[in-house]
Amino acid sequence: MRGARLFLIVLLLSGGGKCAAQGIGIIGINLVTDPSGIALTGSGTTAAVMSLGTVQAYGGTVPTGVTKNLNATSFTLNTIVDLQVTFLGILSPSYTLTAQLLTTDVINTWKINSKTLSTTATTITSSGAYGTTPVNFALTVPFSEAAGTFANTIEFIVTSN
Amino acid sequence: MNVRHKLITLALLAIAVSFGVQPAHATVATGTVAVSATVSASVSLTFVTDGSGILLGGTGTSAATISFGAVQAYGGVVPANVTKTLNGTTNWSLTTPFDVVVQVANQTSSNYTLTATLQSTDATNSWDIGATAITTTPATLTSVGTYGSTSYTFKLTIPFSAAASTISNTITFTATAN
Repeated sequence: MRGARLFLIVLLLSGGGKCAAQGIGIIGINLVTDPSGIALTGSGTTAAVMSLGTVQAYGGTVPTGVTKNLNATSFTLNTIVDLQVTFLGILSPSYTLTAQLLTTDVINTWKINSKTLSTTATTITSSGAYGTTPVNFALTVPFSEAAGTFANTIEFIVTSN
Repeated sequence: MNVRHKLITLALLAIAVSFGVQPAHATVATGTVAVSATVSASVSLTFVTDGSGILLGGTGTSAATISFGAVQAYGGVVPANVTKTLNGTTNWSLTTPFDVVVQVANQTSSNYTLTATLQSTDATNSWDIGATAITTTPATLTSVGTYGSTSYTFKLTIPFSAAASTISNTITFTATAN
């Protein structure tokens, strides 16, 4: 009887009561370099770094795995990043993925899978399949922006369903 | 554990599963990608076929070609939108307009300077853009160019004294943001 109680307590504390909605277990996410994308520093961790280097609208070069598209009044850098989402437990068929910028950017446009990011979480998918999923990253820089270095951080949040 | 205890445990487990109890373990995880880029200013120069000019090979690019084909001072034909002019008994010339498109990005610049340079010396024929003679030394076509499309007239002058042959050369245009 004592063992059964202990098991029940552990189950409740571990979130067992939410299993119908969120599964029982622990979810994790790692950012991984995609074979077709830019090489991430810290690939395979929860805190990767993407350095696009020095880029320009006309001419110049872009890093391997990055493509540049010229628009009428801006240029866009595109690449692919893999999200490796794991779930250790049971009863979670999928996950919800949101992304957001940590710092407001009123000049450039940041997108994941064609969804524009801001400092408010944007849902990328509400039925993500566990495993490795490539996502498209796009950064659009207007011609009107002054030359210089800029940086921002995209935070991905995964929640088990 | 007897059967009764097992049944109670299972009942409690079912209740726990059925009703929402906030999880103590995270079912949420976060990952971040820190992105950085250094944007440099840049200028684009492309050539485009003018509505009244000869068809450019590679129109819309920065490496266009003009092919006059076989031409002659007297008689013959010239390509569409090319004008042939005879200058007395000294020389004859072919003229045609073409468009130069200059654009700027990530730089505050109100205008640009445009120069043109003949890639190879030509001691026989004369090459002109508008009224400016083009040689292997850069010649300034404008120092206050307006961004966008500008029409220029290309002119090749061939002396009657020149032997019949194929003429070719390359003009390099350089736009510099002011």
